[in-house]
Amino acid sequence: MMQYKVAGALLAAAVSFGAMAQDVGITVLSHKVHENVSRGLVPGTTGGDVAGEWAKEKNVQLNWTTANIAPMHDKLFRELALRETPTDVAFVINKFTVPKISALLEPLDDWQKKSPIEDFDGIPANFIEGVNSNGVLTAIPFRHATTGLHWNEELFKEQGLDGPPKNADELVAYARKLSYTRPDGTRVNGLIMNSGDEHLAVLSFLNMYGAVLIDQDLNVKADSPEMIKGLTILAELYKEGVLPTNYASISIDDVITAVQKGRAAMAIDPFARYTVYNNPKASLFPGKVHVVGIPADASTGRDITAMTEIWSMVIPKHSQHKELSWDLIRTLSKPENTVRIALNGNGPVRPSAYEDAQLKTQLPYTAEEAKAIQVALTVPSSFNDSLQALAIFREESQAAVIGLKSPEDAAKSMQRRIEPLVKKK
Amino acid sequence: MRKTPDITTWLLLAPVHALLLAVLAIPSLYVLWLSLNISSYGTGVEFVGLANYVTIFGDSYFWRALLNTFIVVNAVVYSELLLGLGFAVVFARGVPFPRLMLGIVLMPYAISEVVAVLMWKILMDPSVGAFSRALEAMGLGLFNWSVSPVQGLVLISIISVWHNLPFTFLLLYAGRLAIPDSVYEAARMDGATPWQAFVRVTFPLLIPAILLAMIFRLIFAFRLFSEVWLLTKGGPARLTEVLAVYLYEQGFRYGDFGVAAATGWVMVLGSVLLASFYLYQMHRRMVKHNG
Repeated sequence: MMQYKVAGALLAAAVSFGAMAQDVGITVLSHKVHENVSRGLVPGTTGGDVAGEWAKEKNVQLNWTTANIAPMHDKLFRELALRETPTDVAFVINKFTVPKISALLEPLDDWQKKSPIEDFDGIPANFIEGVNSNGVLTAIPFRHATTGLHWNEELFKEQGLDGPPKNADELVAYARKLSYTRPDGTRVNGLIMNSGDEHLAVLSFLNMYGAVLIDQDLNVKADSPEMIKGLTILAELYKEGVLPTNYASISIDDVITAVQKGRAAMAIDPFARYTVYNNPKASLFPGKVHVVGIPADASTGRDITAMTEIWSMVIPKHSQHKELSWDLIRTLSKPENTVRIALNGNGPVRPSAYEDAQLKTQLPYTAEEAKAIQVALTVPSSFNDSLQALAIFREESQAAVIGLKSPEDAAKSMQRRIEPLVKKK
Repeated sequence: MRKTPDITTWLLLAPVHALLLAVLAIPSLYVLWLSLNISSYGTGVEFVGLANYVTIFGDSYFWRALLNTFIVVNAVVYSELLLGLGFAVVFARGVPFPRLMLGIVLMPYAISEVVAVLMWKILMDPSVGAFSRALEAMGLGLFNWSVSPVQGLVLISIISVWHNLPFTFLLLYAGRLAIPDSVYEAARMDGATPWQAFVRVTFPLLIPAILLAMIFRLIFAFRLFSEVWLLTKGGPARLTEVLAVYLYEQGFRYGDFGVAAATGWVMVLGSVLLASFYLYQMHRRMVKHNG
């Protein structure tokens, strides 16, 4: 009888020990895409479940909370203000990591010293700087969305063009030539970009001429001659019908539909959109929409230009599992895992990942994107009102393009309104 | 004879009052307090008195949003009342297949607001929308609501009227059905034409229902958000922004809760002010009716 009691007690102890080990849970807050790529959830991808393997190895319960971009950031920011947060690791976009938010995040310099990320220098400095303000490391880049020029080979051929433009002038000339009506009656716009609710694509176009909104030293450059030149050209293109008539309300969904249906011949959009544009189930031109770097004007001294938006991983200051959180970040940042996650569809933040043979076969644009991320610019978010500055840019640039203001007046107004926001910090 | 409520009545009513207090009164007072402070994510609160109100009253975008709200609310509410009244009278006189027709008229109200706006957005897309292309083919020119603020506000108003008309119609139709036939018989015997019967009988007797519909719709319409946000996001160049969009941007995009709360209170006061005339009229009628 005694043996049964001892055996029973041992069994109970073993079960409760097992349960205790499983009790440690890490909660990740992100957009669904981050879970998909980290865990290889999309059918057909080959990178595997990187996060899941880590959880198994550490005997940790991995809880993943996902939401769309705005509600996800809103939830995170509310949680950051609490004494204790259920979120251990969160994914944030660089434009949101302003100083007042960064102050609520765990400083990662000490963690990096204590237990460094493998080949940390392999992540480009412009990516690290783009997500960290005031010299304190609080965010580790995970994914980038860098703009490129998508072009439809079939529409190009219809208009007698055999390849993408090689400089800014050519891009504008091609856009004009590619604004036509197809034999089936489809009206084609030479160029399209998300100009309704985002800034990235429009700034990419303007940067072809060297225009930047705010440079990395926080100088506002909104009324530069380059900005006025770029806005003037966009306004001319709009007037001529090269840009779509609904320029001021174009969303990313509109851009995708227009390219897939052949209603736009060229689009300025992140490289990663390549798979969507060539998806045989949705596109009328599978395999015919290619992507290259956006050609720059000769005056800039560069061949190509690009803007980038970076998602990074952060730990809330009041996270309850900082050690495990940092370990997960380290794991997801390893060079080999960067490649595996890229094979699951992520935009890798390590240029070395683009050398992977499997990735090269899977994504034919890797060489072009690797070049683009070397020159890609971010809009600095190291001042608290950076979102307001971007909203002002959208508003004033729209006004200039659709003719509500002259490009000169819009540029001056941008400068006058954004400068105090940056100075306020 | 009016009886003073006893303790049992108060106890029975208490849960409702407690609920109203918890979900309406306390949050409203909290928002009022927030409007007197500077507050953002993780920054705590700092009392600034009326500074947030000074900020919004000094912001030209706030005044633009207020003006747009005022224009759209009035256009929407009065159009709905006219159409709702017309429909109610026509339905009361009899229409073929009344149940089917009633179903058709009520249908927009059953559609989710988001779906309804997106459906209109696709139909009215200036480049490829079926409606906008048809209008263009008819020689009416390009209806480009995405770059013309006036056309943007017109389309926002049309969508709002289309979506909310069934609500106004139902209230007025119920009011019209409550008018006894004997009143119309008497009017006919006195030689009233259909128009005279409408002006002298239907309209005066429908006034309580009209006032009720108007108060509800004024308050609801003042909160107009989805139509603008999903269609134009307040653009081009913030020219179609309304107060609810202004509030959303301040509160949920820029994390400026003090300014957002102040805007919220201005909206409450604005809608009460707009509705107060009609509330007063209704109160006067009730007092008169109760002797």
